[in-house]
Amino acid sequence: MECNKVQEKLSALIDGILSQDKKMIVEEHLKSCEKCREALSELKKTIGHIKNQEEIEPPSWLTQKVMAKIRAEAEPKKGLFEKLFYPLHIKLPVGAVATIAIALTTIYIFKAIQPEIQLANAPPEEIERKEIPPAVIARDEVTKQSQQTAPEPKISKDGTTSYLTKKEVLQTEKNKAYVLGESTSVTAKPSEQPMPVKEPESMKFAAPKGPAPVMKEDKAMPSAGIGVMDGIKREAVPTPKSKAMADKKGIDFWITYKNQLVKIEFLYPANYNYKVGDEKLGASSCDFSLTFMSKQDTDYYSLLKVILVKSNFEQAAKDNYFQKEGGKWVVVGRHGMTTEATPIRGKTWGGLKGKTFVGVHDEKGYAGLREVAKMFAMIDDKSGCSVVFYSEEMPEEIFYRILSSFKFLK
Amino acid sequence: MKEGLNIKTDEDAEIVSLCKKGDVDAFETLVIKHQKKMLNIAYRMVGNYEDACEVVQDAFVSAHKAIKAFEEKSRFSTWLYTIVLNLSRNRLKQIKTRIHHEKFSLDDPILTDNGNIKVEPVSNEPSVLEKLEKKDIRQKVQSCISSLDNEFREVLVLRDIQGFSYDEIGVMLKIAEGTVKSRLFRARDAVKNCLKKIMGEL
Repeated sequence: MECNKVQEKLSALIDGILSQDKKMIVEEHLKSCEKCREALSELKKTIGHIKNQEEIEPPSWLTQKVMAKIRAEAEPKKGLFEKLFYPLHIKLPVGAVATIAIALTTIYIFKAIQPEIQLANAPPEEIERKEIPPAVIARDEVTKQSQQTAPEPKISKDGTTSYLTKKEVLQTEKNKAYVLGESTSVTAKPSEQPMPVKEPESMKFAAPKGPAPVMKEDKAMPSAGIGVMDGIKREAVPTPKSKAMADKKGIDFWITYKNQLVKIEFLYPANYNYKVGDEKLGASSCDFSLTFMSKQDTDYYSLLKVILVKSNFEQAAKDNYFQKEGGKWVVVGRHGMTTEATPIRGKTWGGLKGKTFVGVHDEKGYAGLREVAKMFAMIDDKSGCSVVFYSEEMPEEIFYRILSSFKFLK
Repeated sequence: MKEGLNIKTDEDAEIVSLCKKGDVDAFETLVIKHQKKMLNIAYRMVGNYEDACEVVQDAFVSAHKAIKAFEEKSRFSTWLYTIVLNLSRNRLKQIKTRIHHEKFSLDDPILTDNGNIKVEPVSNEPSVLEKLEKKDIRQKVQSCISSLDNEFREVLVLRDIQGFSYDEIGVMLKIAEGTVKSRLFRARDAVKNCLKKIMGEL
């Protein structure tokens, strides 16, 4: 049998579905052919890599959201109120908002003249639920909650809905392993995998003129879980829809942290607090917070990659495409091009910035090169927790501003 | 091929029959039970968490609408996965047009004129951070999986990530087992070559 014929069968051989005679022929060939043995080993490694892809967890709200949609559709369309409001059953958010506004006004009026007509509150609420735009998770849940628990509709003093206050969101979410406290926007459930404690190397800078950055947080953290929090750029880019929502209420999305999904919530107009870690792990985790002071900073959030590491400056730089060449730092771009990098620093951190070029392509194919700014910063508490920030395309001032709010939560 | 599945009892059969009678709560137990696998299939197909969540929601809603028409020729789960695969395909089409209208992603494989993926320089020194490396490999593997055509990606995801048997995959994709076999071979081979290109070695 020829090599290419054999190699075609290797996939089936690995899965054990080759017929006995073919299997024997292939195995016989493998004994004498190194090339095919190499191909088999590569294929096995490839399958190993594919099987190693991590499993992802569904968000806690998924079941509720699915069921809300299904129940809304399954409900029989009968009764006076439904008939009255039927023309307003428009699928567009505009229609939904209008209906909710009408429903709430109705409720408000009813509330004003309660208790006589208290019973009449129910139908408008039903309409309200039906018109929930699917994108608004928090509202979905709160509405559901208010239906289950509150005999009266939830209306704040000024007559507007209170569905997007932070407390409500926290109250209504049930499997709240991710949400820890009032000021906490992000929490994670890292896999417990303590690293052996070792003296972390202090930061080394290539070409800094001044002294090494001063570390504010110097308290002991016995052992640091090593973890990589990534995917912010990839998974957390707010869609136009959530951006539009953000203008009014806030956005939330999920990122991966140590293979766990972490929920990030930004609620306007509060400060944006960002935390990683696990209560139960206590001192062994490297919780930190970032505060996003303005909406502009938050909009750029998705361009920031945060990596919790235990390594030295040079290694961290290298992991983020900065390399030392002849005593100078350079950015290594795609296709091996390098451009000069310069050191940057804030009060508590040091890093590098530079520019690189990436190839761009459109539907027709390769379309040229484009300049992209790359920035890298490392914050090291000298006791085992180091955090690396990396960004492409983020304006420098915003990068500085976000990082200046950095705090280890110890 | 399909007869084999008929013989196996479907553990969801009882709940499914309740759902057919209009029991919405019964459907909820099916959602809870299958959502994770559904999400993982969708995620590997569309390559994006938010889109995957939406695909799963839509899939359950369509499944609920169509459950009375479900003929129980295959297992319920198989039927569900067929739906999620179909919706993932549709979503991918949408994503593709969306990407063309928006800006490109930096993580997209860079294609040259002849359609090859540009190779990134590979550092000679191994990273000391095993975790970082692992994450890096996973990202590279995902980008190679994403670069496959739909028909190849489907079999690869179902077989090597989800661990379905060849005949289950055949039922889900409505293709013959031999086709599963040959597509799988080509998909694995393509991922192998892609990984070799971007990682230097396996």
